[in-house]
Amino acid sequence: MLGVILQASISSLWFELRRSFSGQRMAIAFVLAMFPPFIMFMVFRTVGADGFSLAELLMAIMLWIVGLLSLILWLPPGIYSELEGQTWILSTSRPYGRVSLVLGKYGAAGIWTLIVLAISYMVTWSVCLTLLGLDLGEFAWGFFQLSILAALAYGAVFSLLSVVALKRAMGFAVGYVLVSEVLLASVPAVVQKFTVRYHLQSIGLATISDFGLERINDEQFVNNIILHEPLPLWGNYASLMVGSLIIVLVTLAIVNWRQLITVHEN
Amino acid sequence: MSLLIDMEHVTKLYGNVIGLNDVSLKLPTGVYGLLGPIGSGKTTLINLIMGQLRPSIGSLRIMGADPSWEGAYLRRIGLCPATDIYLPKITGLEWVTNQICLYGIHRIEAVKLAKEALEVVKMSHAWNSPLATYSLGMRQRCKLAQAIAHTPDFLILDEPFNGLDPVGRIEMTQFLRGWVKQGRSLMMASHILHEIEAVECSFLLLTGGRLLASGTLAEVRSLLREIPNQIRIRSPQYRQLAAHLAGSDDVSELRVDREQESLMIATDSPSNLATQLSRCVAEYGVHVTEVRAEDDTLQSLFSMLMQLHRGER
Repeated sequence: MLGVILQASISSLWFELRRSFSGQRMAIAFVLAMFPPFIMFMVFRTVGADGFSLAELLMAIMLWIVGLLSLILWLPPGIYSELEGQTWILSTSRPYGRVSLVLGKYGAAGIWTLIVLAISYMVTWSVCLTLLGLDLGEFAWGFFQLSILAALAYGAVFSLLSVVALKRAMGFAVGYVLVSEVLLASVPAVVQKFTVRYHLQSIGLATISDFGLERINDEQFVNNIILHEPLPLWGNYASLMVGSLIIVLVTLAIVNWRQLITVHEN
Repeated sequence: MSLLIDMEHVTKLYGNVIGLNDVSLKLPTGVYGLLGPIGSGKTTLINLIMGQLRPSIGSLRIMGADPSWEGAYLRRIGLCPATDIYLPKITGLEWVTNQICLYGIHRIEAVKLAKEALEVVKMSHAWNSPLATYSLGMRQRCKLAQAIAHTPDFLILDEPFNGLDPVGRIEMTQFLRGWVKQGRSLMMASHILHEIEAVECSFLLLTGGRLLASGTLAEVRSLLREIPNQIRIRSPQYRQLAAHLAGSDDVSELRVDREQESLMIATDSPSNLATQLSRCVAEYGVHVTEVRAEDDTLQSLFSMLMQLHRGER
C-alpha cells in the first residue's frame, strides 16, 4: 500500500510541477523572488543605515514573508481548484488518489517555494554585497536551511486549510498567519510555543552564527524568546517535524473521509 | 461470485435535498445503461459507486467491497466522467500517463499503457499535442483512454457520446460493443437513448432520485402489458384507413398525423389490429407503406415510463 501511495504521490508531484510551468506562475515567482532584494536595496539606499544586524533582521523578515506568500498562493486554493476545474472526480477514482493529490500539491508547493527563496537569497546576498558592502552570505545560507523547515511546517498547515476551508482557504491562511504567526508568536507567553515562528526563531538563534542574541538590538524580540523556559534545540526541531507530520496525517484523514463533489455537481 | 453492484435501500441526502431515494439494486456482471432526466440521480449513483459519496441511509457494496473503507476496488474500475478537462498546456499523452500513474503504476509502464489506450481510441496522431488544441471529441477520447488503460473489469461512462462527431459516435459504439464482448462490465449514463440501445444493455431508469424501472427492454416492456401498444401505420389513404379503424373495439386511441400521413393507434391487442388492417387492405384497397410498433424503442419506453410516473397515462 505504501509503495502505491509513494508512486502515486511522486506522479502527482511531477504532474503538479509540470502543469505549473506557465507564464503566470513564472511571473509570480519572479516578482516574489525579487521582492526582498528590491526592498533591501531601497531601504538601505534611502535610509543609509549601516547596521549589519538590521540588515539581517530585514532580510529574515522579507524572506519569511516571501516564503509564506509563495505557499499561500500555492497551497490553500489547491483542492478547491480541483473541484472547480472538475478534475477532482478523476483523482478520487484512484485507490489512493486523494492522498497522492494532497501530497503531490504539498510537495510541489514546497519545491516551488524553496526555488523562489533560493533565488531570492542569492540575489539579496549579491545586492547587499555589491551595492551595500554587506556580506550576508553565511546568514543567508543558514536562513535558507531554516526555510526548508518553514516550508514543511507552513505547507502542512496550509494543506490542512485547503481541505477544511475549500473556497475560503486562502482567507483562512492569511488569517492564520496574522493571528498565529504575527500576533500569538509575539506574545511572551506559553501560547507562542504553539506557533511555527517561535520554533523557527529559536532554531535560527541557536544555529545561525551571525544571528546570535548579542547582535540583536530589539529587546522585545529577545524578551519573547527568553521570558519563559525555552525548549532545547532538538525540542524545536521535533516540534516542527512531528507537528507537521501530525497535521499532514490529519489532512489526509480529512480529505479521505470528506465527501467532496465538484462545483459543477454542486 | 460477488455482485457488481449490491445496494440495499440506499438514500443519499444533500442537506434537505434528496439525491437518491431508497434505491435497492442487485446487479450481476453485465452491461447497464443509466437513464434519466437532469437531476434524476445518475451522477449521485456514479459518485456512490466510486466511493466519492457515502450513503446517508442504506448499504452499498461494489464488486464485494465497501466503497467507504475498501478503496482498493477502484483499481478494477475505469471512470470516464462527463466533466471536461481544463489543462491547456498538458499533452494528451502526459495527462493519460499521469492518470495511470495515480494507480501506483510505474511511469515507464504507464507511458506504455497510455500509448496503447490512446491508440485504441484513435488518438495516437495527436498525443503529443497540448489538450488546448484538442476538440471536445478528442478530449472525450482522452478521457476514455485514461479509463480503459489499466484494463478495468468495470467501465463507467458518464455521457460518453458528448462532443463526438457522427464517425466518433459510431466508433464509440463499436468500441463499447467490443468491450462488452470481452465479458467486461459496463455502465453508461447517457441522454442519447438510441446510442445506449445500440450497445444492447439492460437499463436503469432513474427519476427524482428513485429507480423507476430496471431490466432489459423486453423485460420492462412486459411489465407494461396493461399499457396499450403504440402502432404507427403509414398510408397515403390514412384518412380512409382512420375511418375504417375508428369504430373497432381493438382501437383504444387513434390519432391522425397529417404531416407524416400516418395514424398513431393505441391498442391492447396488436394481433387483432393486424387482422383488421389486412382486411382493410384486401377489401378496400388501402395502400399501407409502413406498420411500426412505436414503443419498441428505448426512447418510447422512456417516454412512456416518464408519463406513467407523472400520472399522465
